[in-house]
Amino acid sequence: MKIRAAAAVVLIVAMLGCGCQEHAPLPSKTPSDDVRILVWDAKEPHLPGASPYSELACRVAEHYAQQFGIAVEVQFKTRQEMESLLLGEYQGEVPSVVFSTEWPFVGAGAQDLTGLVPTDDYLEPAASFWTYDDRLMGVPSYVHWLCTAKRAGTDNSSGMTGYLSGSPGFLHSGLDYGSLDWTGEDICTYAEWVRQTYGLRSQAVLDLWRQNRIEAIFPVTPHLFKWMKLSENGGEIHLLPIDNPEGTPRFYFSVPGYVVMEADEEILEFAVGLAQVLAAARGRWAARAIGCIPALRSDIPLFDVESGFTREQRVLLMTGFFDSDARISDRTAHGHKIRICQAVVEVIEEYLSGEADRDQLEQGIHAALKSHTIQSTGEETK
Amino acid sequence: MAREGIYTGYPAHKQDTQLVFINRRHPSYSTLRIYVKEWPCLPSKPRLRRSHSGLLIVMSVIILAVGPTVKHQAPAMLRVHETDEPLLPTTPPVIRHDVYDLKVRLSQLGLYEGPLDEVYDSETVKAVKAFQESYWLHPTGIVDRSTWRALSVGVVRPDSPAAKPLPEGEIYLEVDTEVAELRVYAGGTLWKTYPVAVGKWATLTPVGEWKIVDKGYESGGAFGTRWMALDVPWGGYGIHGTNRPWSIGTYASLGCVRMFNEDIEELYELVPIGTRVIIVGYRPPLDFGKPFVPGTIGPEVVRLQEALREFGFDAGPTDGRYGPLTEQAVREVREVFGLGREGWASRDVFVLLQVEGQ
Repeated sequence: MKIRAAAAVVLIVAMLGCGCQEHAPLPSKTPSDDVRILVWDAKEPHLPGASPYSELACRVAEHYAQQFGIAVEVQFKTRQEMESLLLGEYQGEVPSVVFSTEWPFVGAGAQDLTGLVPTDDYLEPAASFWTYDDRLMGVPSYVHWLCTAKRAGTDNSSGMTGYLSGSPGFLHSGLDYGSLDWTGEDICTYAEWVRQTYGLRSQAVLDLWRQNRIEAIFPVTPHLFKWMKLSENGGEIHLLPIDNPEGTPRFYFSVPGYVVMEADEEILEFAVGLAQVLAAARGRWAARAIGCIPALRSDIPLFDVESGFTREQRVLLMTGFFDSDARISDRTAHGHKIRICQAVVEVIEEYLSGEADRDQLEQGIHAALKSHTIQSTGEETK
Repeated sequence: MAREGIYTGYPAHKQDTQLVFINRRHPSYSTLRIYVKEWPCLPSKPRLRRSHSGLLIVMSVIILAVGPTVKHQAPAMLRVHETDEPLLPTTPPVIRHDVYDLKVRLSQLGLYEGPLDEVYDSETVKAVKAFQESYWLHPTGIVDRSTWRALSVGVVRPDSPAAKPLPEGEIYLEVDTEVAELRVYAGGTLWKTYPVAVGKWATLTPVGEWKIVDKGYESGGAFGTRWMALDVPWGGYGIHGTNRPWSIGTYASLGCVRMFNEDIEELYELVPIGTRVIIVGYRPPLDFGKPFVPGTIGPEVVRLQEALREFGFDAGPTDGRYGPLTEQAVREVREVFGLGREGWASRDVFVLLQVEGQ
């Protein structure tokens, strides 16, 4: 209750006029002549209600460069390229600032931003999300969520729910919270629960949704939720927490942000300033375009006014986030989960489509994890 | 038993490649189905015509070898594609793409009043003979180069306004099939517009972003005096001149872009190999029934690439090839929308991008 009350207070305070406030302390010193900041950012889909994100990011970077008389180059990379960079697997020129995506983690070369970024400007759980070993490892941008989306006024029969088992979000939303873990047994337990609860996997979930042959989908990203709302032509869609074997439905939250990788102390301050400006711009875009909660307190009114959510939905997301205790993972844990996702996805899909039984699922998952463990060990000994 | 065959032209577009031989010793026809690369509308190198005799020998050998298994079945008509071969009166009548152009011209001249199709029937032969007589040509009913040339007499190429100096900068071409126009852009501005003939409904000009990959001179036959090949990955398409200038401004070709010879000669000097050619306009019914994997080619991939670009995930040129850039863009879309991390396009991707069913 305390947390809910705190969230409500935050909302009210934010609505009372923090919206126009300038926030981040920007660099105070004059740059030397050759300051150049390379930024890796991610593209976003063009969605109604918001300007294309790539144009926005370029404008922000240009403005920042003019303001401080430095050179800023923004390169748009794929999410996998950024993941590869942060996993330490990239061999080229390392950018000063990089977007850490919907699956953020503390990556190789990330600078400690403690004391450089005013954490009080951000929602407390968003700043906490990026705090790893008591160090602030990135600038939070917005709160990304996964939910179950359901047409209003429809029943909850299991046969009417489609699920996207090929998505990493499927395992994250099922295993990251609660008592289940990413062990073979727990993955089997979760997959079995999904099959028993929702039935066999459908091939083309969005097609079924469009044809009204299913009434709910999980896990749904903010982007997909927006698409579902648009495809419904104004029909109401409920935003629900994702159910799980423990019977404690919850949203899955993460806080995408910007990691600063600049090691040169001369440039670091400018890179941190730019990371804050980009994080704020992306947070506002996310609030407008896909209904995400901006990480900056002062931008909460944008979420209230432009996200398209009702007050109940906003409170549901906000309180869910405050209660979630979501934490950023480190590079090792993230890499481990990625490899597990890649290794078991096919086996799980076979089981959920009815091509394999429980025994085959167990055997398949254990074989996949065993091979993954051998690979990991091999990598570690290199 | 030795069989004598006469090669009569290219196979039907988008059908099993079917070469048709007239068997002079039998009243029926010997047909042989051979799988080869898609037919080329453009002249290939070396031109089929030039290797005509060699091909005939090969074909004769094949027919000898498979003779007993070849069906002696009389097709109702013979279908032949864009070619410089003379059009012969046959029984049953040949079906050839250029017969449509012939009939259009004969009807313009008031010599023919029948249906405008591709069948070289007796009525058309009669009209051709009448035309040949009036032009002091031998009234054989065989439409050869001299007859095509005579048919072009009196076709007036519209005056084009005097061209402004060519602006500096990248030159690229845009073909709009809805209005049958080719536009030349230089330095980002429209420099000149040419009238063209584009594909018929059954053989539409391929929409997409292509490049000129080859150029060549022609002797004034079906391909006019110049041709420029495009890198369309399915079939051979290009921009060329014509010996049927009355078709310019209409939907008449097999998918190529036809121009007046004077125009293609001017354009030929202007655009180097590598020039971008953007074709917009009508597109055929597309089939999104199956998932697409990297390596897929076709007009459906062009549409997918366009949709990805509209969606903010540029997959590079809309060239109909599902290459690494397309794969990367699909992967991004799938990741952002929670549909997995793979680079192949599933049905859900088509639904999401609203490309299916078009």
